[in-house]
Amino acid sequence: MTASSCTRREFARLLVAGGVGIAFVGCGRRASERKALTPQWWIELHDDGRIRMLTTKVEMGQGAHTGLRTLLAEELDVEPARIEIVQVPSDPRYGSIITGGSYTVAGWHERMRRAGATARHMLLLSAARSWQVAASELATADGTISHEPSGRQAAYADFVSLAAELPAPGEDSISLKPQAAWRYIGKPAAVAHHGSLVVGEARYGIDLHVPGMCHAVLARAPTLGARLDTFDDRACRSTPGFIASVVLRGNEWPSQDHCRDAIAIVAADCWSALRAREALEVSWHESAVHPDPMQELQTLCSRPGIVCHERRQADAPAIEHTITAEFHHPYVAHVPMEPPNATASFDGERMEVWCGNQRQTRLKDAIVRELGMPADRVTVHGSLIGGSFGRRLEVDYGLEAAKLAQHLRRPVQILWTREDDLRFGLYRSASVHHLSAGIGADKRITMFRHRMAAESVLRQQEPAQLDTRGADWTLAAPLVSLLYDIPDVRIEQHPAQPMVPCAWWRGTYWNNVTAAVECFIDEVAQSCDEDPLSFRLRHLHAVPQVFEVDADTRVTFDPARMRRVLQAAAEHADWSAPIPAGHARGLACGIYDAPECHAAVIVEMSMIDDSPVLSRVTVAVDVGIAINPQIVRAQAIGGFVMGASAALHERIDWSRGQVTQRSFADYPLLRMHECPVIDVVIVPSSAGVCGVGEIVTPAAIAAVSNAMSRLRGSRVRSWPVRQAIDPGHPRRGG
Amino acid sequence: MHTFRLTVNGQPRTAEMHHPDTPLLWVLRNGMQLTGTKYGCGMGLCGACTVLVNGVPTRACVTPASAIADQSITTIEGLSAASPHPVQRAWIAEQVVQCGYCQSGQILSAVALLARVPHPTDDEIDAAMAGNLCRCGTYPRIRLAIHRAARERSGSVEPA
Repeated sequence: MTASSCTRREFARLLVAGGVGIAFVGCGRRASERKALTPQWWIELHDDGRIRMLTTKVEMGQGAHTGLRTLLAEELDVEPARIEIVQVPSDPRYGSIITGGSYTVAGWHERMRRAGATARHMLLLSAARSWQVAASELATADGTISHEPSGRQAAYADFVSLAAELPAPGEDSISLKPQAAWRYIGKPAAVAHHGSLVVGEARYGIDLHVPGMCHAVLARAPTLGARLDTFDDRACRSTPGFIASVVLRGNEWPSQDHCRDAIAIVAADCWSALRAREALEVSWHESAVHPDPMQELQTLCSRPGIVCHERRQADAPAIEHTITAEFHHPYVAHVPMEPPNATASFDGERMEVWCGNQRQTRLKDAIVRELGMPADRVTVHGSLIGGSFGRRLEVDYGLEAAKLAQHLRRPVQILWTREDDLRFGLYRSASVHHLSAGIGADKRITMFRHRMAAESVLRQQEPAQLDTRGADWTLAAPLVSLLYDIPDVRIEQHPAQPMVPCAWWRGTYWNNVTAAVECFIDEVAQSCDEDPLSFRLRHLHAVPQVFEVDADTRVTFDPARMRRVLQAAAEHADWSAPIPAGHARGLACGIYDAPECHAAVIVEMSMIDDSPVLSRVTVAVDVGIAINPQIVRAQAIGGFVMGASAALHERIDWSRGQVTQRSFADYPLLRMHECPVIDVVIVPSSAGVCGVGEIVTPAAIAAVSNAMSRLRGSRVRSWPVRQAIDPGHPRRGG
Repeated sequence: MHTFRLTVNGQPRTAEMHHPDTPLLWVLRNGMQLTGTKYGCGMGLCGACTVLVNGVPTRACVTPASAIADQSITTIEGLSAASPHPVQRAWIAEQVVQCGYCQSGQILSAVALLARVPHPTDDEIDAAMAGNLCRCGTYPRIRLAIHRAARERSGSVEPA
């Protein structure tokens, strides 16, 4: 659901490397073990009827497990709920583990379907041999094989042992079901885990209990880059339940893992740890890291940047007037409802970590590197995740737990309080955008300039990914993906030197870029006195585009799909109907590359008691084939809510190297009473399978801002919107 | 050590904790291994730790366990002793949940609302649920599920 093009590129590489080559992993078992049918490691059929789907992908509310299981079940011809989902730990046999980029279902749909079809094929061959009939006369339905001419029928389990002895069938002998025959894909279906979630039985990382486990909270360096000077834990020692205080040395800022210097306060339970932490006295060395990142980005954006796209049509029409605007996005936090936490155990030889994380392999590698441990003695286990939005692509909290366990030699769980999460985390970068447009005689945009300055996650964490000019392709991807056909274009980027810790955040730079561009296009349409929908439709590219991001990365754009999405949104939102008095409508659209998917968002707002109120929202998406329409709808709604929350409320400020915000009191999120009914339109599409997690949020930020601009009569150019108006209490409209 | 004697989900329970001022949240989670009640902010701002105390939604993270020793505490684990509570059934039917972490608190707030107002309006739902944050954005389906539970309630929405 969350993450980045970076992880997507990494994923694409793994797709090729891992491919379908890891066949029969499960067959090298001890002879005493009963045979299971495992044509690929990610599927196991056992002769007692159990069917298991093994996955490296983590579930954090995005529906990945349900989607993958639906695909497997479809070709295996088994009711999805009968397939048990198994989260595998870090292990070289499963390759490099990463969940991100909205790429889970898009990246695995073919492999899941083929694995199901292969297993079914082998079961059919086995049944045909046992019954001495032609395989072509056999049929399957929900885990049963039947032979109509003889009336014979048997469960899959009866043929598992026999099928497990068969050689793997060739690729060519496996065919996938045609879409018309699908029973589970695209149909309403139960979502995995819901049953255990609503009764409180589901276990997240924070719910793990290991025998002998103690609890810890950390007192971290409050200022970026500050190192520990001295500390006095005498008062902690007299706090009941206190066990130990342990110095955990962090990394110099900037660093790829972003662990701060800290003192871990270990206690018998969480409350004792929190009480003891209050009693700790620490002094930190003065840090020289006192960035003023917003000012720095502004300064940077005033200078020419790295050109990532330029085109100039020789016969570009003359410009009659020019419109310019500057946009400022703040830093924003992920604040998943389950705060970061991790459990680790070290017995003097082996390190085991249990941690809701999207990059178990990155965490394992960091532990091996930072703790000097042999790779084969470190295991990172996944768990159900209480929200991530990109936060859990980072490994800081897992690394802290491992360091602490190595010192303690007993199992320990570290908890980040909400204040820790807001103050010591990593953030979606702020950005500054300079935009200008030249308008020609027929009110067409003939010239477009966009210069963006932002912090670069890659520059902080994977600087080798920057090109020789220092350009960041994850910034370039949304920047060069300009949906509108303009003859004279120049786009520049400024990936700033590391100032404060930044991370991927549900769409990351697509939010900064799409919101700035879509707000600007809206402003241009307004200045041309034209309906913003017809203005967009008039300016959309006429033919499919391939946007060149860097030497080996492309983003494709089919404007016909965007037209359909815009028109579907307009139709469902009654765009052409008069706007009620005191209300305003905002529109925006955007693409996301997971691969190419499309969204349009229309928002209707009014002011009640001087506060902006969302009264009606329509979200239209084209995400290719919707494997589970209910999950697509949920992601579209969730994506909108996160975008509206960011647009209206969210902002992280830095002052002398410290984050100012502390809790949900000064970092408010959108609440129930502010959330209207959200109408979701899934535009029918045959454009493959695309990820849905990150497509809606960027357009949502822009649509809310565009509605606000028209409502208050002045353009929104910085966020959050509410900070620029008043401190009243917003409500949902009706 | 301090011994807490509480009535949780209709059963007398005891837990030994180091601090007499331990909030109910940590007595439930660390002292009784009842982990369905979640830590979200520790300041009563997000509602993830909501439990019912004598049927009233209460933030366990800011409620000292010592203050409610003689009262009836209902956690998500005790909401449905035998079969799922109508609100839990409605949550499944409307497919409310995404990551699920906030949902114990959401469900218990909804149960308390329906006990007080059997057929709440949207505004009454919004007012009752405004204290429960959901970062996944499940709010619209929560509203639908509360209406569904109101329709389908079988006469008993009292907490267990």
